[in-house]
Parts: sequence; C-alpha cells; structure tokens
Amino acid sequence: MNTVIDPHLHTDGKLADGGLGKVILRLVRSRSERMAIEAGEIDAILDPESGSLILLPEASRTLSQRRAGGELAASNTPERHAGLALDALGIQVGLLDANGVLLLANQAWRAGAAGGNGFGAKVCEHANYLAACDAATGDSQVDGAMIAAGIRQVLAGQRDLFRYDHADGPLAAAGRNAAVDRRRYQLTVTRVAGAGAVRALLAREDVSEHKRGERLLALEYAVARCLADAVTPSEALTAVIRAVCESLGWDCGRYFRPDPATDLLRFDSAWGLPTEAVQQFLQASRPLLFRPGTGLKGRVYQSGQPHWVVDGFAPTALAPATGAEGAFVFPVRSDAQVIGVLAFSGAGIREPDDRLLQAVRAIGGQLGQFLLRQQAAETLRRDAAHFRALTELSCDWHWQQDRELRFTHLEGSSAFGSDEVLGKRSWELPSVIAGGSDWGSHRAQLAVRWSFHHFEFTVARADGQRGRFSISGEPVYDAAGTFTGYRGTGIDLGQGPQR
Amino acid sequence: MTPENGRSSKARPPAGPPTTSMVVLCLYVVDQAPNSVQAVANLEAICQRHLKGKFKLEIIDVIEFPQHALDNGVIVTPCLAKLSPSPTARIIGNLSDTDKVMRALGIPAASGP
Repeated sequence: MNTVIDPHLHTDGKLADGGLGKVILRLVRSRSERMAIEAGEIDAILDPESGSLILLPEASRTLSQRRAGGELAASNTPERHAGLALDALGIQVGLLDANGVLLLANQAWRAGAAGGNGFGAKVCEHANYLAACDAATGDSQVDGAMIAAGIRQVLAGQRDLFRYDHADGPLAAAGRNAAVDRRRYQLTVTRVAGAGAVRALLAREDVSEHKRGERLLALEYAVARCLADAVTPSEALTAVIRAVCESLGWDCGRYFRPDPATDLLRFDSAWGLPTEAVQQFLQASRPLLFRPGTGLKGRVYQSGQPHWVVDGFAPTALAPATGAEGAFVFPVRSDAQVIGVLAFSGAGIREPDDRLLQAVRAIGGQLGQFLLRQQAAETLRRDAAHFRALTELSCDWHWQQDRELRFTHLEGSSAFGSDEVLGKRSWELPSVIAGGSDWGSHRAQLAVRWSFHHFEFTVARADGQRGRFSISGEPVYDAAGTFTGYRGTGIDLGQGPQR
Repeated sequence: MTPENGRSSKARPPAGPPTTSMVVLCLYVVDQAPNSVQAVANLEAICQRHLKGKFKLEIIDVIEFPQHALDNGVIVTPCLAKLSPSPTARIIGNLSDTDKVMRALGIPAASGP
C-alpha cells in the first residue's frame, strides 16, 4: 500500500483545492465525512482506486515521532539498532519503495523535513518523494525533474547509482548573491535489490560548506596564478582583486598602500564590475587618503586584523550609488609587517566564517610576499643600473673568467679586442710581455682562489709602444658554494717602460 | 481474535453472525494517530457506561489491514461501524460528540449507569 501526505491539506482544517486535496474531494462524498475532515477529526483517507492511504499531517507527525523514539522498532533489536545507527548519521537518509514512497527516514531527514525549504524537503515518512519531485515548481522544477528521473532509473534497474548536486531553498531568499549564498546538497541514490522488493536508498548531504571550501581553495589557486603571471605589481593587484570579487560575488575591490612621505594610506589599484555606479565609486576613491587608525581601512592597517561591515548594518560609501551595503577590509602582509589593505565592497558581504578568514589571510600573505619581492627586485634593478652608470663613467674596464680562468667577458677596454681575449687565460694573451711581472705568484694566488689587487703587467701595443695595466679580481661562487670563476676590473696605467 | 466486551488492537475483522443482544462494533483507526486515539478512548467510555457487558468491539488498524477497510467501504478514519443489531450505522470522526454516537448506537439518551 502507498501512503502519502498532502502538503496542501489540512493546515487549517480545510480541504485545499490543489494537489491531493482534489483527490480527497473526489473520494469524500458524504456530508458527514466532509464535516469531520473540516473539523480536524480525521487521521487518514483511503483511496480505493490507487490503494493509497493518505495520512493527514498531524497523524503523520505522530507516527514519525513514535518511530523516531524507537517505539515501533523496540520489539526487534536488530532493526532498532539499525534505526539508531541511521539516526546517528548527520546526513539525511531515506528508503523509497518501488513507487517512490518514503518507507523510513532517519532523524536528520525528519529534522530537515520539519524546517526545510525547496522541493522534497517536507516529505515525511509514508509520503511519496517522487510525487513531490514531480510537483516541484519555479526554481526547483529542473532539479525536481532530474532527481525524479534519476530515482526512476535506479528503481527500474537501469543504473545502480545516481548522484546529483543541486541548490536548495528559495532563490528569492538568497538575495542578489544567490550563486554564492544558496545551500548546496548532494543527493546519492543507490539501488537496493535483494530477495525482497526493489528499494532506493537516498542519502542527502548538505555540502554547502564543502563547496564553499572548494571555492575558496580555487580562489587561493587563482590568486597564486595571478601572481605567477603578473609582470608588474599593478597587474598583480588588479588580477587578484578581480579574482576575489568574481569568486565571492562582491562588486569591487581597492588596494590602499601607505605613502612613505606622509604615512597616509593612498589609493593604489582597483577592479570593479563594469557598471556606471561602481566605476564612479572607484573613480571617486582615487584622491582618498586615510590616516592609520581612522576609518575601516585605517583601523585594519593599524591593527593588522580584518574588519567588515555586514550587509544591512551600516551603510558604506558604495551604498548610495549601488545599494551595496557590505564592506570587507583585510591587510596585505609581508611577514609581520602590514604593507597595505584590500577593501572590498558589495552586496552579499556576510560575517566571515573561519574558512573565509583563513583564505583572506593566505591571499593577503601571498600578495604581500609578491609585492615585497617586486619591491626588492626593483631596488636591485635600480642598484644595478646605478652601478652600471658609475662603471661607464669611470675609466675602468671589467672582465669575467670561468672556472678554468679563461676570459668569458670583457667590457670597456680600449687596449684589447674581445676576439683576442675571450677564451684565453691572462698569461696566454699574445701581447703580454712576460718580464716585469711576477706571473708565478699571481697564478699561485689564483690557484688557491685568493682575491688580488693591482696586479700590474705590460703588453705590446699594435703601434709598437708598450702599455702598462693593473687588474684586480675576486673569486665567484654559486649558491651551492662552488667556484665558478673570477671577475674584476682593470685600469690602463699608460705607457709602460720601453725595452 | 475477537474478544468479547473488550478491545482487540490490530485484530482481524469479526467472524460469525452477531447476536441480537450484543452491539457489535468495528472501529477503524490509524495506529496511534491523535484522532484515532481519541476515538478509541471516547468509544470505550461510552461502552463502559452504557453498554456494559453488551458489546463486542473490534479495532482495525488500516495501516495493517487496509484492504479490510476498503472491502467494507471505509475511506476515512477514524470510522466507527455499528454492525448489529440493525439498523447498521457509521460515524466518522473522533467520537467526541457523545449524543451523536449514542443515537447511532441506538442507546436511549436517558440511559445511564
């Protein structure tokens, strides 16, 4: 026998004109029966055509409560233990018969049915789950149809397992940020076929937190990719702000960094939705300055802790233009130092949970490290350019040798051409005059990797004159401490002694 | 199982012709649903007070025996069927209207303990 519950029936003692209410109106013909129903004195109605027993909600609740209390299973210990085990599970578990009627449900299912939203959420034991899926309307209609089809395939033996992820709860209640805010469920339907009748075991799990964790993890990866691909800090900041906004459904984000001259927080970079209101808001942010400790951004910069204004509590600057009333500000850190703040605005900003705080800490840390590395690289580039400029201004030339002490680089020398120097050792240069220098001591110094200063030697110039030169050098080691050669400078001392 | 002057929970339907001295009743209920529980309590009170020793009551749980109810034309529960003596009668609801129940059972209004 099928047992069903009409969700449209009997909430106020009246017969509803929809759903199974129509069936009941057809079945109940006598005045006394109808009066008893409307007086709330009826527990159930039998449909002779379908053989269904239609339980009214109050009766259904009573039976479910008795079953939950183990009263019905008390006489059967194994069943009772199985029931207790099912009730201990956090996920909703239910067993359907071949017609889709919910034969039994665990405590989590019953709790969900008592306060749930969306299709199928209020289906209790003895009700027809398939019928509830078929009857789903509005936002849930597609999901209801998919689930009903999957369950029927399982019951028909066309598949042993059906798994379906879906959102639940009314779309309207989720607000503008519905894609982020609606709860997510995963329904797993397994075919149970033994010696007895075919059954379908339903396990419905709230995977909202899991999905949210996955989304935040994906955001952290996306931020890492943005930082790997970015060439400049500005590119990186814009890409990271955009990734955060798109992942969390926020309207726009801005980065403020301290101005070294004034120590005030100054606008640096931003990204926002391409709407007029948001772009105007970002444009208006450019001249803003914030003193540390003042305002939301100033407080975050000073405390190093994230701050937020939850949507609907206190209007933010963005509110008048866009209706967005939430703000979330978190620090960008490099080690222990706060080097800036990221401020996000938009609808749908909620009080952050631990996972979101963990994600923004990771993002703030990654971004801070990147910006600091960029700053260090910029300093290095500046220093190198400065050094190169000084070298070019001086009369020195500089050179490098490999580990075999052969010249690999020569720059700035007017006395030697590269082609006659590269690949040769200093004492092998054809124009070097052996006398007048202690090449033996010099080579001994090189052999033990000593630095040397002002080693002078004489060469024969092409015009027949002699030239006197002085070179200095130091050994070079790689990061592993392995000797890789020498580098140094040289200076032309002018005309050497004539022989 | 149809004990006389008493209640048989979830029992099979009564067998054999009722005697004219006995009021034979069959109450269709749904397990421990609220109106069913109330109907059983109300009926037992009426029987104990007005039909002491002169009734047979059988209680049928339609969850266990739906076909029996359908075979007897019962489509809503709780439903009390008076099977004998004639005329037969049916009362729908939780039997809280004692006068109505007594009239259906053929018990005079002035009848008392």
